[in-house]
Amino acid sequence: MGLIRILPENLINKIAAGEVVERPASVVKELIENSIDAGADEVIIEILHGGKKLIRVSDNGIGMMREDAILAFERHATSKIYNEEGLRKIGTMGFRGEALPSIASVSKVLIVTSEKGSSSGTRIEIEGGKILVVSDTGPSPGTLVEIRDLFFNTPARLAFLKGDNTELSHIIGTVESEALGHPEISFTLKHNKKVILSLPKTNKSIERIHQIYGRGVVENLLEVRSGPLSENNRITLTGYISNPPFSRADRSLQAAFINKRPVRNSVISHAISEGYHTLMMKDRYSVAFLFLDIDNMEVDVNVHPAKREVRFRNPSLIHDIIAKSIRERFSEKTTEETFQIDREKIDLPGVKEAIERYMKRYERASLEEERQIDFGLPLRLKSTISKDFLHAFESYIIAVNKDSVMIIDQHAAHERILYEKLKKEKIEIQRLLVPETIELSKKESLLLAENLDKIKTLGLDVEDFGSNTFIIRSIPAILEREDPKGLLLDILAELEKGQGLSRTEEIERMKTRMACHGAIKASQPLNPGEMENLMEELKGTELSHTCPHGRPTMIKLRLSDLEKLFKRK
Amino acid sequence: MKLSVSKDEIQEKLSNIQNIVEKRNTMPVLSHFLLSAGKKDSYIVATDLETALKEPLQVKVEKEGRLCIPARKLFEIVREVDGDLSFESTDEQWLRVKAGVSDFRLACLSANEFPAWPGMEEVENIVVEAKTLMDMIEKTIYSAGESDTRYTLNGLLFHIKPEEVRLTIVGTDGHRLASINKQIEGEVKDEKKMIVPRKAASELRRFLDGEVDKVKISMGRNHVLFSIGDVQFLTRLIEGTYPNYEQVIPVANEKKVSIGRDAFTKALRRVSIMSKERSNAIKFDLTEDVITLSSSSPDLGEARDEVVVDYKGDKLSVGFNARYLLDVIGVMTSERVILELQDPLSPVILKEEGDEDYRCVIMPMRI
Repeated sequence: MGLIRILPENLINKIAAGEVVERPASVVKELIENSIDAGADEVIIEILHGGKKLIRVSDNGIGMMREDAILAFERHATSKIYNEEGLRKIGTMGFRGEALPSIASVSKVLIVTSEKGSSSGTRIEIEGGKILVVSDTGPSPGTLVEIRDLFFNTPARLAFLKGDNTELSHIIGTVESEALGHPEISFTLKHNKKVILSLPKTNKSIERIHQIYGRGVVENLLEVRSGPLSENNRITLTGYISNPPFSRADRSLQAAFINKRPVRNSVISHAISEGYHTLMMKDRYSVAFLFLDIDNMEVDVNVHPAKREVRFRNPSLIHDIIAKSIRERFSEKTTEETFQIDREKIDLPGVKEAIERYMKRYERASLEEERQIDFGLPLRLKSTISKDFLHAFESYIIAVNKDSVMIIDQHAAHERILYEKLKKEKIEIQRLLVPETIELSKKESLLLAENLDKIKTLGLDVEDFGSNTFIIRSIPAILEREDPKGLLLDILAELEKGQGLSRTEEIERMKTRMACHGAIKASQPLNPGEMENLMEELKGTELSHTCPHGRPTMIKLRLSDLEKLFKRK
Repeated sequence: MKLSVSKDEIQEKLSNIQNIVEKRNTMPVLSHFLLSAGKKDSYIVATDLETALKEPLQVKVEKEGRLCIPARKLFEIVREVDGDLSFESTDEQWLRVKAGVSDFRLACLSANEFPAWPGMEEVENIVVEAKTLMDMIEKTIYSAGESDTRYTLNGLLFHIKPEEVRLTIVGTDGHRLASINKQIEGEVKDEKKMIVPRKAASELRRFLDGEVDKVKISMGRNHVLFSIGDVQFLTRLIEGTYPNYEQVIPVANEKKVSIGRDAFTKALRRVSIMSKERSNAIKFDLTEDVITLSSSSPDLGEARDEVVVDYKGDKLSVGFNARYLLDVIGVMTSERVILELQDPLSPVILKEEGDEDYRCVIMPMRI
């Protein structure tokens, strides 16, 4: 007999499970999507111990008859497509028929379902992919699926799961992103019997965004809308984007949905950045919730088993629609929201014409200006000369000493100074006279609640006020001029990224973030005294040549370097 | 338009508007002021759409007229020329300015382009002594925020309660707060809370130390107008909710300390030399009759000083940002100041001895 053989079905399923089922959150995702495809308008997710012990998803959808329920656990069994034509225009969330058998192969499954209108229901128990019991039960609306002891028969996978809270935080993320795409469905998430998320159904996406992220985010959003372009090109974009300078330190509040399916796609991320071009500071990310409605023929969701990735037939078209809609929203804003308000509030005879004349002139001027400046800076940044320094583009300090020319990046230099102070010196704490309250999303709340003590060592005394609201009572004195909310959000972003790091490493990273937050920004005017101070303090630091992220703080050109550059030597 | 004006008069009136006229040139007309010359009265108006100023101008008018004149350029001309000036314009584009044998032609804009003075609705009026208002602004403005993201903090709160004939002005940046309460004339029907932008409050001071002794404050929904004699100063209000300042001011601090203001200032300045640059942290050790002030910075060294005080009670150690204390006692005028403390984490009150109307609150530091 040859060495090559066909793998047994059960093993195939286990291998597939590796692709579809990475962690409890992936199970939750598959089950929620099945409920959505079953036309449910209420989905309840119950979790025990981060989903490692139990995941139970119940819905009020159409349910299944007995034969279908059994068949559902066969590989590539699906109700969602019938032929190849169907694969090209998938309108349902799932279609591969892989998820249920894969999940069943690595867990203990109980399914109770009854077809809508039927007088009886079916109950099936499966363990490690083998059907143990099939029995009749009374009718119950919709379908209930219970997944117990995930990865009980694949210890290697089990070992890779993180702590309950980390897994829960992934599950929350999954439920939130499915819920954002389907505001018309109500979602409830319970963990260890406690309600974590309760999202009543609504007909407005903005309402759902509000339920999840709270008022603080919603207040800062602007609506975008575009399309359909034409009869043949029925791409529509709707959504909400943040009004700069409102931003986050990472992309965690950027979500895109294609035909209600949450997706990650580099074309979309890039288009968002492009739309905001020059409106966002470096290392800041806008908040964006974008909902694209695209003909199913235009997009291929069958790229990854978990369907997180998508491919567009015409990516540059999608890119342009998104970038353009965002850009236009802001060019509208400068004329509308800044000028119209003035026109309204002060009744100005003759000024309307003056504004129009001015706008024309301004438009011309800004076009010319952009052409002149070739280093990509949006603003006309001033350069000034004082007794000791040249301040170039309001970003670099240039000083000359005995034998060299020093070019200092003001942000990087100040970042280094603050970082060393935070690291070496005992952090002094300024209590706030008027404490700041901040409303967070559930995911952020959990993360923050878990790390309150760590954050406290950094001088941020934060108190849990319940229902996702926190009170900031103090900030580090060294950052007394900073906005406490912004500082806290930045630190949260760092915590989110650094999950799984050691405590010391985490604190280190938070300090780096704080230094970055508090440092003088590029393109910020400085007076000669401030520049002198900065230079003086920089000399006193240990690693004065790089910022905490490793970028250089200064470039030194020795006289001999200049001589070389001018070919004198 | 044809008129003549004395150099002193026009120079003074133009210098008053220099901070209001727009320098950034976002809307050309805003870098101009409106000159309105009439046989009965003549005045100039300047605005940046946020604040607006109208002041009378003493001129001899031969021919009436209205014109928008570039504020900066005319000011420069007035400063450089000798003797009185005469203005003459025949159209809406050019103004001829003459002084002695000096002769200028200045490009102008039509008076129709100038923004109209905002109409105010639901106005209520009160009257305050100019000196009092000046003092109230001086004593609160330093603790207001500057370019804070909590934008309501970038202004001064003017608060009037209907049952009291008093005005309270409050400034806070979230770390410290100053509140001053004084007698006024006139009443309001409902409670009034207006947030006056910091820049406007600061600019208003310029008109309060003249000869006029009363200021009429006309409060509308979106604007407030200060009438100081013939000068009218108007500003748009900041919209939003100001923090509940009354909640923040402690009422039952038990440890009361009386300190000579001069000695206190000197000791604070000496000790803060060695405090860390950004936080200005200094430590107070309060014992019977003496406060020991100290500071230290790992790279620089240490400082220690003592001030004799009137205090009988338990010992207490507490940290402060020296700058906050210096700001407060810098605007106080009494010989002695009163410090009211409770514990190392609770807000501290500073008062002038014998005056309950002015209260400053500072949050301690943990050092």
